[in-house]
Amino acid sequence: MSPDITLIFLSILVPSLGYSVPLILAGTAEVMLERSGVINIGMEGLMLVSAFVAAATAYTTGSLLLGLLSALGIGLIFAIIYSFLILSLSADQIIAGIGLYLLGTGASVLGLYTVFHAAIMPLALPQTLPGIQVYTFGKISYLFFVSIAISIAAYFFLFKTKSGLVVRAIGENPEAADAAGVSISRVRFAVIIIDMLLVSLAGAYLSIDLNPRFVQGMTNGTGFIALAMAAFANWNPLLALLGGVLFGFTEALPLWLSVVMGISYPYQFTNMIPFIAVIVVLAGVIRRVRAPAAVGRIFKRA
Amino acid sequence: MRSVFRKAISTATVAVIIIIVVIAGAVGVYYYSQQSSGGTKPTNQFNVVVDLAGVTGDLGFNDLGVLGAQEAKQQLGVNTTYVQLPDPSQATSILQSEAASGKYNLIITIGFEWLSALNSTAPQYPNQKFVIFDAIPIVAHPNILAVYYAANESSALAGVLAAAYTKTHKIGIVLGIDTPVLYGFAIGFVYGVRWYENMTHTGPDTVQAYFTGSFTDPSKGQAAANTFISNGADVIWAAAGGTGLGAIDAVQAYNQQHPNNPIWAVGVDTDQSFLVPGQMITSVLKHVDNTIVSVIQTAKAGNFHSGVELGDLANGLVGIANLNSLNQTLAFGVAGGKFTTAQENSIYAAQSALLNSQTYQNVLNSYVSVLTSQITSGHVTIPYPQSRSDYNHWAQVYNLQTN
Repeated sequence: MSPDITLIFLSILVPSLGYSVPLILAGTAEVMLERSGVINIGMEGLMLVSAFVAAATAYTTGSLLLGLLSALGIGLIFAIIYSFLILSLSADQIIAGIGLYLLGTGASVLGLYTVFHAAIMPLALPQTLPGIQVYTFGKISYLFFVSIAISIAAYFFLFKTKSGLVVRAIGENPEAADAAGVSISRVRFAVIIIDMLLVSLAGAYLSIDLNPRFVQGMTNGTGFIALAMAAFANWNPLLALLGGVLFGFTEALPLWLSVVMGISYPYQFTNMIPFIAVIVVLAGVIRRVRAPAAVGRIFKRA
Repeated sequence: MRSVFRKAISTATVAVIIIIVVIAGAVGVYYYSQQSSGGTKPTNQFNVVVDLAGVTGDLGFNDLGVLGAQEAKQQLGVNTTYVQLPDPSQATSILQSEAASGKYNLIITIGFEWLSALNSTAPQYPNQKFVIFDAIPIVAHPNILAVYYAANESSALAGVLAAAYTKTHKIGIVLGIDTPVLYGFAIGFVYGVRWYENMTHTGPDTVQAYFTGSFTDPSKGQAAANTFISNGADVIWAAAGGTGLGAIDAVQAYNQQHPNNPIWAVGVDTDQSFLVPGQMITSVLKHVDNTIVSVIQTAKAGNFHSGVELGDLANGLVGIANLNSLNQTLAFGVAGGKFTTAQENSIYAAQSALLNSQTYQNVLNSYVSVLTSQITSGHVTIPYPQSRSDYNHWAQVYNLQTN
């Protein structure tokens, strides 16, 4: 194998893995959440505001760790807001999710003007979270390996533990689980917290790891692709991991084809791939997929 | 018990909503009264309002807009004020109220953000004169002047510098969404590169351009720059807004790891060298501040005319970065509390060392100034493609690889 082929391979691998991290984290989070019968369509908003908070905190304090922690703190706040809305007030999950999206998107811009008095961060962060530098192709973040571990752990939790069985039971038939003595709200609250923490981690990754700065709207639909990925993955964390890498690859593909291989075509075609893939899967072309029966349904004790 | 709880919550909700509405109303009335209190102006005074494309403090277009308004006030003795645009959806209501007030001799709007608001407002106020920068209304109105920037000319000058600074003879251009605005940038730039090669009998340089498909995705800009760098490029031009910032970050990261073998960045729209001081050979500029002064001067003299006016090298409304633009950006940064004095000094030291270096001055004097005079005297015309097929044609002519 000539070194050229290795380099050509690395030149597509490194950006693919870079794009895949937030997709894996948010996709896994959404799979777990929907398995418990709750859907969160507002991930994009939380991701944006976490990205902002992480970058702003790291910029002002000079500590990446504090940036990361403050982003997780935002995740926790969003988890409490969302739980209050859908568990305590039995609000519609779609409406509440849109609320989260708008809140997060708006808060990120408001924060930018409040902290930096500007539409941009004046200077980039002096450093980002550590990773493995691969020649000049960029780095493979340690968070990539963390995200793999989280996906695998989520799989074992959902399908190999008793608590995982309870989560899935609540997502399929909350009435039966309730009759069996499980507190629906308590379990869903716990899963919502895990979900929001992972999504805010994905946001922080974008602004203090992959990039040394926050840019308005920098998630560019990652939260929505992750939402679609939960379905694409048939609500299985391991397939969400695979889907994350696959969709990361499709994001990196047009650049690689154009600049490295010299094959040019309109980039819009590749941008469609994740969405086409989801439609194909949901249309049952590849295999049968079935959503957890209680997703998005308000649970009310009779 | 449950219903009592619910009732309490709904009462609380209604109370919160009422409080929010009252506060919002009070704030609105306050701002309105603030605005209108300064509104009664003597009628013989020439009043101009400058509507910014966004919020001040961007070290870019908006700060330049404020500066332009101030300079016009000082130099021309006119009364200028500026309005920020926190959210593009407010453009129409802001423009409507300005036109309806009837107190402005001239309303200047900056950026395409105002285009649709202008299209709907201008016909309603035929006696109000409007100006828009950096955008052209599809339908011409007798009371709108559009100032369009000849970015192809300034880009050509940046191309000359890039060609002079590349050692590997490979140059990468990171672009945003595939739109006609960017065609002129890319073609002008590669024109400058080829012009330099002809003058010096060097090259040919490989020039690659890549449309990332976004203006807000620094990850894509970074990946594009890294791929160019891995291909051997040592000059990266980021002409892609927020996406471009990622490309500039990539240049900075590379230079941190390879301090003995630095590569160069090129910025866009405003002097971006503060992002990577000493590592950015130039920025392709639109002089919004000068444009404001010149437009007001013409209108004040009674020579306002509608249609499209070109802001080009000849009238000095586009150009490339120099020590003046660097000082201007640093002044904005210090005034806005974005840089400390120490940061300002180190940015200035690094960037001025580059701009004052013998090599840089040689390129400026022997080549950039020559091409400038060729363009301004009309000996040289640089294409500004307005369609994708036109762009493809010129890309082929100048051997620009693009997606």
